[in-house]
Amino acid sequence: MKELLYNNDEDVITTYGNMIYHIALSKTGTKHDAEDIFQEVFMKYLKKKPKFNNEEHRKAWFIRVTVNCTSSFFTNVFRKKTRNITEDLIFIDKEMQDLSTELHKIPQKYREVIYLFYYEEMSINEIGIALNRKNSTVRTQLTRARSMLKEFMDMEDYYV
Amino acid sequence: MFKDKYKELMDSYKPSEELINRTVKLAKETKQTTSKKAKHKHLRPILIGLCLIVCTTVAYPALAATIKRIYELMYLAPPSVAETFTPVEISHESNGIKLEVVAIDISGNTAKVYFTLQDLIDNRIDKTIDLKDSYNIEGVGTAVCGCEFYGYEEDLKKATFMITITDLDSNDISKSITDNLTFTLKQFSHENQKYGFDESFKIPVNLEYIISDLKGTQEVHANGAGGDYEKYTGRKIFKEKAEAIIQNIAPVSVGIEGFNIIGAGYKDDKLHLQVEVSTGNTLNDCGYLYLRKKGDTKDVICLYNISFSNYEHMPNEDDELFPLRYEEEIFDIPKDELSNYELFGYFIKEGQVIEGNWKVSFPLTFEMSNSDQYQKNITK
Repeated sequence: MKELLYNNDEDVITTYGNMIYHIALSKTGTKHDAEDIFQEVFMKYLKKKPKFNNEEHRKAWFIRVTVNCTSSFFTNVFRKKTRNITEDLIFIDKEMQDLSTELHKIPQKYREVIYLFYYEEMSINEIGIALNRKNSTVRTQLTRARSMLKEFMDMEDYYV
Repeated sequence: MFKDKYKELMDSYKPSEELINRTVKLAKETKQTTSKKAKHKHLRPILIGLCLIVCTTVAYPALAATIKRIYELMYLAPPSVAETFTPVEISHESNGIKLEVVAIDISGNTAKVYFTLQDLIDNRIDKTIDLKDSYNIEGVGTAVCGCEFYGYEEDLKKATFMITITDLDSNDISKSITDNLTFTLKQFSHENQKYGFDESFKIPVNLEYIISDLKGTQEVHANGAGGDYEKYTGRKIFKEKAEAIIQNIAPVSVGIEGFNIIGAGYKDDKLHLQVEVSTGNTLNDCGYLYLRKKGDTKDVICLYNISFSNYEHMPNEDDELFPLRYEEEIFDIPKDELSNYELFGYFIKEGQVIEGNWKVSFPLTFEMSNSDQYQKNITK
């Protein structure tokens, strides 16, 4: 367990900013929306000033709040019928563009599991706690997501 | 590896310097605003009280007469403010099924919200009901929440569920959640039906009569494969496309709606049998065949099998294609011995899916009927 490492808000924003932005972007698919959620999450953090025991606790809080904010964002009356996905993303190459396109075809709730598992390298159990889902649900969602992304999967990706 | 490609992709996206600077600036401003507000904190209850008195005496009758205008106001207000405008609605009917919040139990950092689902026009609710992941709870802020089946009242055909909301920071939940909670539900289903698991499920067909000349093969993108797939086909699963037979017979039902044998024939002296799953739920519904020699109890399983579908991805709102799933099994049974074998199978069919658009919105502090009494009346 890492002790609390960051005492000022700037350090917290730069440390957790990438993760929050990635989760928001992976769910919304647009930079514009991801930026809105990024700010909303940090505003909640700054206003609420939650107390944490360690950095894992703080990280779990940010994941939970980002997922909640993104879910609310999609059901908000002001959001409906507004934007399309991937309209403002620039890709490194064709393969990356294909991967990004395929990622946005899978359901949102699978995208966050993919991100936490493959990028944050969290275990099924840790993801279950962070997203408040049963381990079996997380495992099923991961399996389904892999099946949908099978073109990009190697055999070893199933055993990581 | 997918992991490396995915990381590379995600690493190419970062919050811009401008966004970070803007957020840091906001953080500083928030600090200053918070300290200014704190000075006038004692004035807030008085001002709120005054506003409430004015509103209830002057505006309430007018608002009550034109309640729809509240919704119009929502479109003028910013999203964060609009949430507080959401009218309290503790029951909602959709597709002939009523969802009703019946009790709220608040204890320390946890709130338990009980709601019921009752079919007003049919018998579509039983004790095997499952909400899956098709519900959403908004307004919980930083708290964690979940929803579980709580009980079923046989006489009323009413199922009860319990939403648990917990503030992990151990704050009083009624103070940490002050906005309206909104619970939405899009669909629910019933327990899966399984065939062939408790006892053998014999398929009422005569194999030697249904087999026919094959019409050729097609390359498909397999969702999965089993047995000695790579050994017999020389192809790598997921890396290379798989080969499946083209439908060569009129659909023969296995005895379960949505499961039909549409391919049966020999290729390279191996028996190919292909089942089409047309239940609409290609994610969870599946079927597997096996053979048994007449008078014998030993199962003859396939050498290998492949699974594929008529679409590459999950069905979603944009898909116009009716999703179909195919399971093909390949057996090592000589053609002249086929009359000695009977066909059996395992099938899983997900329970009926009921769709609707249920939505209730209420504050945690909303006064409900006696929760303790309610809990006693529920059959757990």
